[in-house]
Amino acid sequence: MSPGIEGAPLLEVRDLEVSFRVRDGEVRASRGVSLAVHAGETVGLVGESGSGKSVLCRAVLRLLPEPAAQVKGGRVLFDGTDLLALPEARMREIRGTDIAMVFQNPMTSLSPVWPVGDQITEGLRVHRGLSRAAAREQGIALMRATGIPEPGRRFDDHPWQWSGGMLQRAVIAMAMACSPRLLLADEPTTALDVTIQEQILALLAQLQADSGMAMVLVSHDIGVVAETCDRIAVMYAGMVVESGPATEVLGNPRHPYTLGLLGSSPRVDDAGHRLDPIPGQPPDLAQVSAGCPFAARCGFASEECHRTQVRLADVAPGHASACLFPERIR
Amino acid sequence: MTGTGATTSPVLLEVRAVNVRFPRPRSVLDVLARRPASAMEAVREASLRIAPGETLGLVGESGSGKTTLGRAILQLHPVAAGEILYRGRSVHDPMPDWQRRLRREVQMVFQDPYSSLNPRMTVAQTLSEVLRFHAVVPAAGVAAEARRLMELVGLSASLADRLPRAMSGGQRQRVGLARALAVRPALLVLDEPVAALDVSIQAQILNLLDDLRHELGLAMLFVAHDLSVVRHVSDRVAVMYRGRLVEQGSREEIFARPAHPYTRMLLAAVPRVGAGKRARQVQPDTDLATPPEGCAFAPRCALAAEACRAGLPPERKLGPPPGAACHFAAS
Repeated sequence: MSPGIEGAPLLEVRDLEVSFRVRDGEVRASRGVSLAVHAGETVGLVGESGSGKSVLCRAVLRLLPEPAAQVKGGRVLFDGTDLLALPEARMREIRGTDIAMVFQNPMTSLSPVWPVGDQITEGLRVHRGLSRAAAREQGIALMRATGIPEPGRRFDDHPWQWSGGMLQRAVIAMAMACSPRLLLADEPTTALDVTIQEQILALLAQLQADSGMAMVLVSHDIGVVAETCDRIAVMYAGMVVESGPATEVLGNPRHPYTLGLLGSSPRVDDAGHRLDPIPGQPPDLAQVSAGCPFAARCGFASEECHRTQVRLADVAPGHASACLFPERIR
Repeated sequence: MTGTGATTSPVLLEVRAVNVRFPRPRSVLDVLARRPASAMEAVREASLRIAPGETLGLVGESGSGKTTLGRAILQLHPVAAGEILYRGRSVHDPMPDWQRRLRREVQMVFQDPYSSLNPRMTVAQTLSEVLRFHAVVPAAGVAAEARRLMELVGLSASLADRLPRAMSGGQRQRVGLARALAVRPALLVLDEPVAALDVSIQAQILNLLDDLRHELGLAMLFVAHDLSVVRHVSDRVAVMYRGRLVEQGSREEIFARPAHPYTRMLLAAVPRVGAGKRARQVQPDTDLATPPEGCAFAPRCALAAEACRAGLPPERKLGPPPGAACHFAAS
């Protein structure tokens, strides 16, 4: 199935600016982020902690912790509608129906006091007006579709009775309940063992193929993104620094940070070569310079990089880099 | 340096058929009803050896017992059966001078340096305390030695008066390492030392560990869930599943010719960067709540046959080291 790259994107984030108020000033957590996701497509967001991946997802669903977090500018267009301009009541209808989200830790996204089945089907009862019995029937079908064994018997279990992998299946079932057109998966497998991760990624791909939904997959693991995504956006210090087709971005990186991430990642299929780490520390978002945020750690940087504001620009059709000198990376 | 012939090379650490048992919690009702206390076996009949200067990677998923085994070596968990020998002598030998020597020569580095550092002590204080307690250097030389240690692990001298909370995760892990190295150990037990770090910092620490073990001739037991990381640091690799060591071998053997079906499953599940989008097979969840009789991996194993589910676990017959504890291990 080839994703419909042509035509208007299902989700389009334009120049998103998000700031967090802190004691001594402001932290710009999202600095002019733009991202497009088409129907049926999987877009990977990679980057290290604090790069703004989760802030982007939460801003789309308007789940940022206000008033500490403020959207200072930009638009979030979903199927042409600016979500940032919608009244809260309308937004509440969209959450869970048109756009659903899966969080990293399944234990904290489920209530410990309610049966898992009731939580999976809450959306069906609230948004679709299903009766308890009808919701239960659909809930069991969802549990079966997500590979939860003996769903009929387990519907009334509480979260503590389940393993982490099974809980993540439940959270995915909950997200899929109202057949969303867009799924935001924020590190959905980070808390899981690698063999369970394999199963959850398989499940997400299967559900996506069956439903044609679009997916944003957030991960710090470049391997997970490489194996799952059509396109990739690499984030650093609240900016998208490189974006494009997954094979292009990872096979022919045109931003030094992407190159650094690839050099830092140990490979299971490549023995004994020495890692090539990115020197220095991740940036302090409260003190990002006017120039390129990566300049301080960049082996290719020159004087201009420290003072010139950078923007994503095409280096090839569909492949963009926010590096002033992408030709230096070869 | 790379000890593959485990029987001929000198042995620094030997773990012989060790079991570690945790009591199951008993409720008040259990006590009143006089139900007997039960226990779960976190580690079962684990045997391994580490030669001087050698790094053994111990991999497994959560609940496999890898951390418990590592901690048992440091006597942080009691051993229910079997023995742990350091330089041929039991680590449980209570002679005070032996115990003091062990506490210098065998050091541990934990996953979360934030919870294993004293929040009220600066880097310099943390290091000086260890140096003074173990009288590693004369009192007059403590400050200089602390500076040398900071340099050794790549910490800038300007951080000497920082508290843990004013440092990044990578810097804190370097402090944890410096503290372990302060007493000039022969064996480091590292429990997921890079799991909490971002990939760029993880790479810095992995390279540092690689330098240190060559410079200082350190032996390491490197406990981790991440096979890519283990491949980078280990001379030999041991794979644990549900309390048992299911396979051991040289790094080359384990990664190029994994013999145990579980090792193969683990390796196949590691995401790879080069291959592009990959199709996966959706599988239902396996109920792992009750450990089966026989081979613990049998419920998830594609090769499992009647023999695997029979009473006697195949590990006993074919057990490591080295090799794979499986009736059908590919040769």
